[in-house]
Amino acid sequence: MRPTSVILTDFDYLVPKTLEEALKEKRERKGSYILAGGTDLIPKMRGQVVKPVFLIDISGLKELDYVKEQEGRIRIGAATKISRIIDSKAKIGILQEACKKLGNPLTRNKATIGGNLCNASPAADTATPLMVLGAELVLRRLDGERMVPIEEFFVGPGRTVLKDDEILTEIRITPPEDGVKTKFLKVGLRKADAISVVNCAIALKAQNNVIMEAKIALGSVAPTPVLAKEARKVLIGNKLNEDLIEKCAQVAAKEVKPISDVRGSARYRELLVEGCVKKVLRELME
Amino acid sequence: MMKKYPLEFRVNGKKFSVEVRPNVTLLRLLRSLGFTEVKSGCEKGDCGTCAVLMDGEPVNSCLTLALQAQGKEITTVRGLGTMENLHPIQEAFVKHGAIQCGFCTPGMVITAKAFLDKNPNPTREEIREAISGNLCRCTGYQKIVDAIEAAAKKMRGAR
Repeated sequence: MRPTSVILTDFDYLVPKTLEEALKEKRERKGSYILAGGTDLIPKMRGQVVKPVFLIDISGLKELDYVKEQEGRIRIGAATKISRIIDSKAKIGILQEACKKLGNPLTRNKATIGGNLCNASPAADTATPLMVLGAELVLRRLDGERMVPIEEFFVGPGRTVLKDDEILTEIRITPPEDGVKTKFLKVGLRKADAISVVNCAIALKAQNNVIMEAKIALGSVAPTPVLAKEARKVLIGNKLNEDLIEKCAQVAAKEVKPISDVRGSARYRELLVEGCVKKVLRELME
Repeated sequence: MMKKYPLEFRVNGKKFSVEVRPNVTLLRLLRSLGFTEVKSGCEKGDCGTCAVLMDGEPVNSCLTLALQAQGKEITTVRGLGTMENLHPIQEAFVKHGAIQCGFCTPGMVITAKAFLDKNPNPTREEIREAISGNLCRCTGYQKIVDAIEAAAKKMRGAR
């Protein structure tokens, strides 16, 4: 449906004062949606892609707005704004690199990390860095919680494992150990205000130039952000040199399943994957 | 009929108590209250002409529900300076020809204000990055960057 400037859907607006209240509403109200930053949800409501019966506004919940280090892990509240993550002093360089490329400076003041993940766009810029960092997501419900590794969170475009009575509350990251190098690369159709045509996050650990551990995550090339497992195998136990980079990039391009859309054709995306993986690996080799 | 909810907030220092439906965006409410200096452009967060300061932070008012402004202080471009008493950024925009059709100007000035509060001595590259969420289809941005650079210099001098 064509977006209208007025939101046509008729809904009730709820502002829980605590997380517990929010969880209670989420369980009891059928057809409820969580409003955090609104940068994605509000345009979707205008286009009637999303028609909430109840809107539960958690944008003001201080309980979900933090970046802190605890017992050696970094914890990020799901309603923490992207601009706040950029300004944070926590050791999450690759996530911050990606956050600086997300949307534009104005939307970054509203958009939240939890929203970016729950929208489950295959192009979500925070997903791939979190995948190479091995992040875990805390899904809370009124009577408990479960932890889900980020690579198991996404099910398809716009779909996650979140159940109706659950809210994503926290992202937990173990900071990369010493010697791990990470890098993020986004290809958009312009410098800012762009949705990824392809994005790529890589983490590498090498000893005497031999790769001990590696993770390659790719966005906007499959129904969900994906880990390139075959390309990873090419790297492990081998010396990082130009030949290996070439081979790894070709394998990565073969294992993705992109579609053609307004931002680029499937074939263009495969070529971009090859180019991005090469570029990032070369930069990490230096 | 959709329920109305009470909302109290301030715009440019003035207090408002209104009743609004939850589907009304802050942009639409501000314009209906007479703050038509807040422009409606793409209404999806791409163009930035609807930018206002919400407790000092620049945001797209088109992506904010009016009810999310509960208890907040909103500043529009008119809250920064008036025709008689221009803000240094507004003055610089006029002086450097950074305004052509003028449609992006309210958002540009708001974004520039919040940016210079954080970074009073920016490079041209940093200015470009800061206004990358505000689209201008007339100026090619050069004169806007010139204006923000000049305003920064003047504001540093005033400190």
